[in-house]
Amino acid sequence: MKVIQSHNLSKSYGKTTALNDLTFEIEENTITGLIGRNGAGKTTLLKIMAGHIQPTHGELRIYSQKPFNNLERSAGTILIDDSMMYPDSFRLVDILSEVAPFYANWNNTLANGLFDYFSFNPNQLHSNLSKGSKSTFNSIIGIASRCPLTLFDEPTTGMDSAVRKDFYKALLKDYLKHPRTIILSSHLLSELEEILEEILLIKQGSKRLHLPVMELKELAVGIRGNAQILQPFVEGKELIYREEFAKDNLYIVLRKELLQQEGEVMKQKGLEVFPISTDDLCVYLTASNKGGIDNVFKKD
Amino acid sequence: MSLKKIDPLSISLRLYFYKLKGYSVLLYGLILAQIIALLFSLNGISYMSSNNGELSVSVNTYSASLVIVFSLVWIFYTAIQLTTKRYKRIEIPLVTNNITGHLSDIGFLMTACFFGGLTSSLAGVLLRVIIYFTFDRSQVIVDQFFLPFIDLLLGAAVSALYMILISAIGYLIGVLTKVSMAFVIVIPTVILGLLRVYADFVQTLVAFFTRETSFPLFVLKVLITSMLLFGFSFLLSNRREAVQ
Amino acid sequence: MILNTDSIKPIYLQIAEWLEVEILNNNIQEDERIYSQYQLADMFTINPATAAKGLNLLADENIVYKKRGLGMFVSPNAKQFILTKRRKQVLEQMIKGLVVEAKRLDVSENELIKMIQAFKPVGKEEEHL
Repeated sequence: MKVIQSHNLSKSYGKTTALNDLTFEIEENTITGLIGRNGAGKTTLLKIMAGHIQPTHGELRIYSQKPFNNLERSAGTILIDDSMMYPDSFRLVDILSEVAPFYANWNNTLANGLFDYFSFNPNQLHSNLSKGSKSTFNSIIGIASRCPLTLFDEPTTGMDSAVRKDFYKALLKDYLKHPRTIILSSHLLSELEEILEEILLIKQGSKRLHLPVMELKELAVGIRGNAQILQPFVEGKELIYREEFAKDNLYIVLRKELLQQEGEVMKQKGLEVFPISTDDLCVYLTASNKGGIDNVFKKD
Repeated sequence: MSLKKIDPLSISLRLYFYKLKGYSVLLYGLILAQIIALLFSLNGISYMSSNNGELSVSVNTYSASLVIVFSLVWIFYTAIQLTTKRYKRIEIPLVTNNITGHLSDIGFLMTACFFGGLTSSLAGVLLRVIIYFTFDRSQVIVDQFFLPFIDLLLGAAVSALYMILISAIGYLIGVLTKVSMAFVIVIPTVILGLLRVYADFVQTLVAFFTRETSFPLFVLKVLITSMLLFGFSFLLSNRREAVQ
Repeated sequence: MILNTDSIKPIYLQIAEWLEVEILNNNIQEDERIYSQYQLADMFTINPATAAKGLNLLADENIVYKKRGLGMFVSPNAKQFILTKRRKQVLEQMIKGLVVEAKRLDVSENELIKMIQAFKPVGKEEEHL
């Protein structure tokens, strides 16, 4: 069953376009990674899903309802981001107990367990927490609320790597017991890709890719070697990335399906053919300019 | 997956309790404003003295009306505060929509008005007690010095009702400034303009409430006007994004 | 159990290979129930869909078989099958790389064979994944 259906979704703030003609669907009870560079529109998309803002054009439906100003949707959705605010007078322990009644599936044991595990001081004020601790605390609410649609916007900002791992582990463990639709946004795919089922890659507000993360790993190959030998093989093929380096050396990335049987021949001719890490592939796919940062320095 | 029907009233009630606990800091502001007003009032709000050579009379008038004025200013400020982005950002992550957000805001304001009305009325009693013990009793003119209980309640109710009216105005102004920042300039200009050009109209408008001698009619006037003002705020913000 | 997440090898392949090793090491007997996708997901902190793909890979090769409503079980002869498969696939791949590299380094066929023969593993036979 499709939980999220987005059709030609666009959102602009004045003259700047944040989202541009996004069409996609997300299946129920999956974990999807929303990946994109800074400013790609991840936060805007999540806020539309959460019903905090409304689209400029097109529409997005959650369980066939428009989420904006929709109480029923609000009750079934939680968006965890770093703009979450709580009343100044609430201590951490107050926040947990005050937020709980809003969520039908809230689990107190889990919330308190995670709270203790990450050694929070119950009497501390939310505003005094460090950036990483704030993210961790907010994530506890995100996990313990067990909302049918749980959205995390860059949840690991400021967390150290041990806490990140624990967070993803906790999220996955609870998801296995209580399946729900989860969307996590991040600019870095590598740290969360193992727990993902699907990935939605956006670039400048437009969809770049939406596919199972397993397919992403096998989507592209990199070839590196002598330019003269390599060039004839890739003539006329659409390249995802191309970089000249050293003397007469070429590094290219292209879709695996374009290569077919040639891979073996290439290897025998001394070219290196290797898989591309998902992180690198995402960087190539979302690069604004072919050639990358090197081009800036080549101009002198 | 079908969720069970969500009841807007029960959500509003939950939000109301959340705000009541969370915004208690605002209520401390009321108490502080009233204490300051009370301190000012201890000096007497007006002083009159006359001397004909043989007899010298000086009259100090004491009244807690300054407490009510301060409370009105406070509720006006509080009502505007609730509509700001800062407070909406506290509300938005929770389960809410436009209506439940407003209803819980109004619930909070009503509670603050009830509380403020009661305390400002009690402040009058406190003022009397202080005067009773600090002044020579023979010098105090006992004009309604010993306040009947029913008058105390009536005083509380009237203060609370005025606060409700002011909070509704403040809330609408707050919502208007969210619609367009231009209202920050437009509203004071319009009010000043009205005062200067249509002074009669403003007087009639004020008299509509202040000259009402029948308590039930006064209650009706205030409540209906406030409801209209709040209702207008609802409509204005209905399709708007509270935060971006 | 920690997966090599930096590896280019897909996670589901790593899962399938880990399960094969478990079978080879007799940690899971033939006709015994193998881990479910959820158990694997929990153990390795991976998405259950990824774990399912690893399991399906084994099912496709008949290393495991499905019992309706009961889960997946290790097939009889699974161990023998894995051994044969690994000899063929893993070794062949390695030899391919070896030959290409030898050519680049100007090592003749005879020299390469001598090098292989001269190599003595340290201690017991090492197991390669």
